[in-house]
Formats: sequence, structure tokens, C-alpha cells
Amino acid sequence: MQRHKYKIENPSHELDFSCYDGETVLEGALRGKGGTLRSGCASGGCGICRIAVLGGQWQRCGVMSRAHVSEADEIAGVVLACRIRPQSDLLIQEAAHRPKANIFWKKVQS
Amino acid sequence: MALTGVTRPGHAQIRVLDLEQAVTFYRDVLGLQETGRDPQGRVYFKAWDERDHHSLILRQADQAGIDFFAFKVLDCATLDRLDSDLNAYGVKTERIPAGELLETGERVRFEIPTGHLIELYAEKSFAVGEDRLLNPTPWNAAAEHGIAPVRMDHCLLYGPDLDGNLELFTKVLGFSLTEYVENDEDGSKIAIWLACSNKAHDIAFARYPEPGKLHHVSYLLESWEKVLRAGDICSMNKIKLDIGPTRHGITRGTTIYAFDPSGNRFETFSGGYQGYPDWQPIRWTLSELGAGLDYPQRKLHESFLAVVT
Repeated sequence: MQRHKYKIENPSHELDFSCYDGETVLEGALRGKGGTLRSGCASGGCGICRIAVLGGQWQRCGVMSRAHVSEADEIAGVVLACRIRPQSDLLIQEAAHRPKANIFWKKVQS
Repeated sequence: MALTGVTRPGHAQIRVLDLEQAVTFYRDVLGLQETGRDPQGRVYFKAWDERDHHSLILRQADQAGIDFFAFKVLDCATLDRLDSDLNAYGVKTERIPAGELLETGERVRFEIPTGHLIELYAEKSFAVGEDRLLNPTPWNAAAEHGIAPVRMDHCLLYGPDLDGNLELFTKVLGFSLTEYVENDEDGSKIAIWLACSNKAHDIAFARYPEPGKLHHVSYLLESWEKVLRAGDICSMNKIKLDIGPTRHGITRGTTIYAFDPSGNRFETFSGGYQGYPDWQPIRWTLSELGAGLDYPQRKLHESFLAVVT
């Protein structure tokens, strides 16, 4: 049986991918083609997959570290992709609370 | 070498987002033994072959990361001496009374230049069964429960002032620099491995703009085969792996890194080498860091370098 699929759009980064019912946004992104969203602990702690949900319905499925998602962020739809499941098609934008560049990171980027 | 002064890593207090979920993970997947809970609600654990009451403390919080990392020193006189040595060096210390942590004597706490809290203590109750001290079996049922490391072995912490840490740990606390990564362009150190024993490392630090960050707490296994078994157990329990199984060039350990249910990274590793304090440190250049991190693949893993709690 085909599971229901939600479309996740990120117009500014041409980052479309899909999530099966029950998958987190990060799980869908990682299953999708090539570098979609940055992934770290996938457990709500590290904040590397922080996104802003600009449109659509979602449900939280775990605790998110307040170091990365404040209560106000959460109300505004700024969340961790590893901790939400889509309830409809979503429009998202990366909102990396990215650790500021360190020398390792610069090296990886170059 | 005779182990004097600072003798070994003693405990790490880790912040978790969901305490009971964390307890289940550390007890049944990592395979540590729960040894107590205190009135603050903190939960204490030890590895099956450790003798001291605990090496890991979990605290429920709204942010993941590390509260403090501690070392056991030889005796109370050593604790007093190191406290005054730290003060003379210009480091402020705080005395935490005995009993604030279960079964633990007075602790000397101080902040290091990378923004982490380090503690020294001389006394902690032994929590080892008589069967482990008289004609013991080489292992027991607890050694087969979950990943079941032998001990909590070391940690890697990220923060800004690496040079300050190096000087403090080597000049005041008696550690040796065993290995380091150097930036080819300006000769600055960007990661350091330090030992207070003859292990390849008892603590390590990497340069990072934000202070007080945890990269991982590491647990020792007895063989490469047990590292592979740890990978199987992580996958069976849907634990998110970061890198491995592989071997580090730096310290030569065989390893797997993964994340606990709050996103705190942990390592299970085996091997490495034994060194001596008069040995020269090993130098790695930034251009060879891929091999230093993952020797077979010679690969810089982005998440390994950038993800911390």
C-alpha cells in the first residue's frame, strides 16, 4: 500500500523533497536526493537542522533544545527538522542556528 | 610512570532533554549500571568494570550539553595542593562540599579558558562487589548487557582559548601533550590531546568560537570486535550514528561515534597506544586532518567537525 506523501518545498534553495506519513522532515530530507538539509544528532540537541516553516501544518514529535529553539521560535514555526512531522505539504526555509565558522568548518567548506 | 597528582577521569555530568528516555538509553543500550538518584533528581551510572560509585551523572535540562567534567586526584593533600596551585596561577576555584554528589568527597571546581567547568576530587566510595575482588571471573553478565564498556575513558570539548587550556593542563595539572593538530598556515594549534596517565588521551580540546561545548564523552571497549558489536547494538536500537566503525589516525583508536537521545555525542572505542610523559608530542597538519580523523577513508566528516551540544 502506498503511504501518503507530503511535499516539502524550499523555493530559495530548490530543495524540494517528500516525507512519508510518520517521517520527520529531516528523515525525508535525508532520504531525498543529495544535500538537502544539514543533519547532526537527529535528536533535538545540536540544532544543526534548524528550519523556519513558512506554510503548512506540522506536529512536534520530541523535545528540542532551548539553546536552539526558544518558545517564541517554536510558536513562530522556527523548529528543528528532526523534531517535526508534516501534517500537510510544507513550505520551509533553512534557518541554521549554525555554529559560527571555526577553522575545521572553513576547511570542510573550502 | 607512577600515577600521582591527577590520576584519571572521574565523572561527567551531562544534560539531557528527557531524563527517563536518557536513563533507558544509558542503562540498556550503552549498558551502564544505575547506581543512584539524588534529591535533585540526577541519575548516576558506572560501567561494569569500574570500581568507583559513578562516572556519569544525568541531569534533566532544557538544553543538551555538559555541566562539568571531573578528575580524581591521588589524595586529599594533593587536592589541597592543586587548589592552591590553581589559585597561584590565577585561576579562581570553588569548593563544593562533600556529599553534593552522591558518595563523593569535597570537589574543587574551576572554569578553564575554553569555558568548561572542570572538577578535581580525592574521594569517592567504591561500589564494587566482593565477587570482583576475590578470585573474580574475567567478566560477568553485566559485561554482556548492551554495549557494556569497561570504563568512561575521556572526553573531547570544544571552545575558543585552546592555548590557555594547554598551558593550564600542562603547567598546573601535570598533564602531557600527546598529539596536536596544527594549522599549516599560521602554526597555531587547533586541537590538542592531553594525558595525565600513560593513555593516548585523558581529555582533548578543539578550537571553536563558542565556549563550553561538548563534542563527546568516550567509553572504552576491549576489542575492535566489540566496537563492531556496539555498531550493531546502535542500529538495532535506531541510535543515530555519526561516524564509524573506523580507525582514527590520531591516537590510533578504533571507533564508533553516535548520539544519545538528547543529541549528546558519545564514542565507543578500543585500542590506541600507551605513552610516557617524556615522549615528544605527535604533530598532525591540517592538510592531513582527514587521515587523522578517519584513517581508512582519509575523510573530513562535516557533522563530526561541526556538530556539538
